[in-house]
Amino acid sequence: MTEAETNDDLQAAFDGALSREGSERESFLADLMAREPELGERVSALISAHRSMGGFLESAATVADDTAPLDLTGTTIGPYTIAQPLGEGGFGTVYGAEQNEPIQRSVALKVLKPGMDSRQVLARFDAERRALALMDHPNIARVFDAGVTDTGRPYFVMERVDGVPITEYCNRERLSPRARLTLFRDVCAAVHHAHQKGVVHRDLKPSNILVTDIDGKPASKVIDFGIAKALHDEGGDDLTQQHQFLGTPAYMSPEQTEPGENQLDTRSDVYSLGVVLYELLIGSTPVRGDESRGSTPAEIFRTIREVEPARPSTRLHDLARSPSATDATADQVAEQRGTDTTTLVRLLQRDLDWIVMRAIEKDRERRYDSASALSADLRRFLDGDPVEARPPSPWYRWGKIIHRHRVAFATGGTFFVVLLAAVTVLTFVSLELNRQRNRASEAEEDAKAERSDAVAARDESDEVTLFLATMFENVAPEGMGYDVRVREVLEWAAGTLDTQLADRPRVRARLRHTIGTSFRSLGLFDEAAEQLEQAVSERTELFGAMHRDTRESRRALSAARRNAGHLNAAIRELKQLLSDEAELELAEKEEILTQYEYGVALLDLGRYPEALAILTTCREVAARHPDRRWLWLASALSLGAIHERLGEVDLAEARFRDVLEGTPNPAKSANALDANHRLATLLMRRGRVAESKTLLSSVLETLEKELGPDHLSTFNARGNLALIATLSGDLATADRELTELIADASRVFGEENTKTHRYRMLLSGVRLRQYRLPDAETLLRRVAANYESTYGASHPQTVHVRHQLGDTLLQQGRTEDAESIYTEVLQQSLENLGPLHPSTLKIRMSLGTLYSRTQRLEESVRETTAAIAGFTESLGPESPINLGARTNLGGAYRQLKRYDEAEELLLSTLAIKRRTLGPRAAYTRNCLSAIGNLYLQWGRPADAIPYLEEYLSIVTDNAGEDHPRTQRARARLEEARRGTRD
Amino acid sequence: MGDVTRILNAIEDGDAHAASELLPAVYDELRRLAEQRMAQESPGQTLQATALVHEAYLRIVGPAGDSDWNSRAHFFGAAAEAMRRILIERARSKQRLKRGGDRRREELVPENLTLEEVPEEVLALDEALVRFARSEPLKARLVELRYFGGLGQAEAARLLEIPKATADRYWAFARSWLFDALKDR
Repeated sequence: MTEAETNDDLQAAFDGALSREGSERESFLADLMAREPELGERVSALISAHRSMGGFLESAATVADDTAPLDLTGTTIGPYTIAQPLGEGGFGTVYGAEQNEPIQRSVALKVLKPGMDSRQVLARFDAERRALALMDHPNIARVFDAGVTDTGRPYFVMERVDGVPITEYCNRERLSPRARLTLFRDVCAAVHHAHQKGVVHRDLKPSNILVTDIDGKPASKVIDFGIAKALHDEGGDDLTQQHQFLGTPAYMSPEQTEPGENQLDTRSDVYSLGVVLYELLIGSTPVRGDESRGSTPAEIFRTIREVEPARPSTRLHDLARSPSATDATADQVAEQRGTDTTTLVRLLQRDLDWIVMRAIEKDRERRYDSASALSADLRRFLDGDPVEARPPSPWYRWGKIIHRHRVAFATGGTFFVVLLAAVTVLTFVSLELNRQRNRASEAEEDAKAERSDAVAARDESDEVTLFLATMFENVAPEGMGYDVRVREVLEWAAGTLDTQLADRPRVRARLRHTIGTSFRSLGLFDEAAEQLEQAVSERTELFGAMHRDTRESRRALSAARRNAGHLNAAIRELKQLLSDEAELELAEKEEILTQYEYGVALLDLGRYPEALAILTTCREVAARHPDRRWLWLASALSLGAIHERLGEVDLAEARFRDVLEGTPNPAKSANALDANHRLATLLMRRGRVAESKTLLSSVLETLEKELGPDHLSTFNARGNLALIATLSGDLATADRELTELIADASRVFGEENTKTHRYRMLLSGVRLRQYRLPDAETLLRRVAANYESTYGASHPQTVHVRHQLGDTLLQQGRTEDAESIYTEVLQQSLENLGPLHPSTLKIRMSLGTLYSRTQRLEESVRETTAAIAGFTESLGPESPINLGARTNLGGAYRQLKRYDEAEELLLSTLAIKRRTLGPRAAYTRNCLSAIGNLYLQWGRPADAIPYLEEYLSIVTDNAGEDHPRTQRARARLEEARRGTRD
Repeated sequence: MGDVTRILNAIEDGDAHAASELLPAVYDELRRLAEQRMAQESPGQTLQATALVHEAYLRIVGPAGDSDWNSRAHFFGAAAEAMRRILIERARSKQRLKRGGDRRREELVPENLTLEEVPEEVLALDEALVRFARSEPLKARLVELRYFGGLGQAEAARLLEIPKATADRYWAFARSWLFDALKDR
């Protein structure tokens, strides 16, 4: 297909879609997507662009000179005569003006800068007009009208207010903090009034809160209500709107800085009010100028969203200790408020700090829910009543600690959850202990038991929180990789248990268990097993082997063993646990906890039919219990994996979709991410490339947005996309993506981290398919060395990498090296995973190939036939891997000159592949080549040609024109063609 | 008689070489005209490409009808490209101003930070248009004529020697393509 044809197709399809509407268009696109996924995807993207592009490029480019303000003095705009400029704002100039009709009055006219779409501004203003008209408040400046000047610039007409910004006024008049608060409460009342009329300001800042003296008393007016909204597009996705973004970041709420996030409500104004209050009290805003200077807007926004500001008193205190070059000194700040630094700090501490911090909470759910609630708390403070705002609870502080260490936590997906669970449990346990202790002390000194239970409870839980907080903050963050940091913390904590909690064995055992599961979440399985073993023995001693807590630790221990690759030990322990539990007559929802673990262990062992039966039961039982939903999801995921291996692709797909649809926030669930990846791979294998890519791309987008680009899950999703590209034969893309991914992972985790090596493993797959064998070998040796030291030599992961290494050596013709690796890993795999496990069978398959290369043909047929029998038993006759083995066997038959058998086997295999995997599937390459070779050797060159042609085109795509492999494929095709001529 | 007129006459006389001289000449004219207009008008003025190009044409070549279509086509073809260059130069110099030399005045403090992405957008559009032109040279040219040259659809179609209906289809396609290419920025 030539370039021009491609373009015409695209244009034609685009026209076709555009000429239809609604459901007709949908079905047109769906059809196209089914027939030609890539074209369909492209057209969909263009159509969605068409839908949202508005007037993009419709009016010709403009040459704007917006360097200087436009002075309109003396001109008339509609019924207004412009008198003089009053000020210059971010988005235009404000003029004093006289209105001539219908009434004579002085107004302020705000004329916007060029570059805005006047029609849209006015349309949005009109939408707001009725609400604005309802506002009637002495502290709100009215907006009368809006229009367009002759030169096409929008303007707004407002009540004229001759005041100065509230901060300037307060400093000039040296108002005391109390006077400032009183004045500020008027502002809150005005904003609340507007909110009740349904108007959100969206751009509250000192320059929009003007203060004048009326009869010697300050009076405030909030200006510009309704204007910010008119200037912003609700959808936010229109290109022409983006540069119209206006606003002053220092006062912007976190939700305002979210791209595309325009669901602003009144709490956004509460945030901005909080910032103004902060500034009124200590003279600077929470996000400071010097932090932002030189930063990109994106960085400032990130600061607003993520960086926790200091409390006002802390900020002032810091300022007193280390004055900054740009800000006023603490003494100057205090002096402007008619007081001294120490008094001001003391005034701010506690109540005022809490009030301000609650107003500027990042999470709007935690803010005051209205401006009047903020005002009411300030009144309480002024009246000396207890305020509603409270210091954040220990739980909350935990959240903050975790947030600060986000990157560290990012490394272990579920670690966050485990940690929260740990805090919860520990606090609970400690409360119980303290209650006992309190009861004892009450008996002794009744009279002294004055403190309320609630207060005691809070203090004690603080104490436990402190223990955990120390656990994290004791470890210096510098000089170590993130991974190492969390690991160090856990090791330190594990070591501290004996000394710190020697007199609290229950807490110690609980903590031991938690540390063990945390190690496991981090992928440190041996450390996990060590802690969990100890937890089991401590708990057995305390409660007996059959106690609920002990069984919990036993279960966790078996999971750690399974992860560590000690599958047989895990199975043994789980069987024991199952028989113990059988005696207890547990409720079914308790029973399935251990059964699930057992099922997963069987799955890992490749005992699919057994695993299938057990996990099916688990899923059914879990479905009956809302509190076992996680287990329902987890079982569905494992079941999907089993069905996939068994070649039952429809069932597999259904289970993966169960998980995706059953998870409320898929981007944050490890199960859902796994399901997503598996489903994408499955669709890919079935030839549904476009669907597969869409699935992964959308998840990647969400992950990048929600967890950031450096999160492990984001990296994994990128790895998966690259894997899809590899499998679909788009090796150039896969190569590029993985190279970038490895660089990024090296930066975040470290170059020699096991996670980084996982991506190198993926890259080795690309190198193998590109026939860059020495490069693949180098990569695999590196990965194998790392896995061996991380997981141990006989761990399935390590075995898998070394098996791949053997394949690479074999492809390079180094048969002896390959054979010794195969023999070694086959032995390990037989011991660990058993004879029917796909990993074992795949190694036998590789051995079969090796034998056929070294002309030990009978041995080759024997190994390959054994592998096929095994696959057929464990995975079914049509499983993808079995088809690969059948192709190999066909090759061996050919070499043995058993042509008829070879032909029958190979042709039926190709047919199955095309049927089960779809015509576009990438797995037909070897089979095509094998059939071509068969016919060549058989002396039927004409029959070979179509197969060799198709093979050549795939190889050319994969390896490029000049690769020896491509040349060989071409040579064989030539040979076949010559054969037909002779 | 200005340079442009001379060159247009040469083109009409069949001087193939003259066409290559047209762009720089039109570019100079347009720049001069733009600066003149900016200086005359109050500061803060916006000039639309349409107005600018047409005015330049009137001043240089004379009222429509006085000259044949061929030179008109040549002129507008060159003018569109010239306008594009002018806009890009302005955007670049604006960007430089933001980044470099004038640091003190342009200090990025939250108070005066307004996110005007105009120069970036002009440059992004140009970049996307370059990419678009690689696979769709004709459609890219249409965009240039309409957006930078300020030509109407009918005129642009005539200049490109395609039916108006085809130009309509191309125009919708090109706008969608470019919008799609720009939306992720």
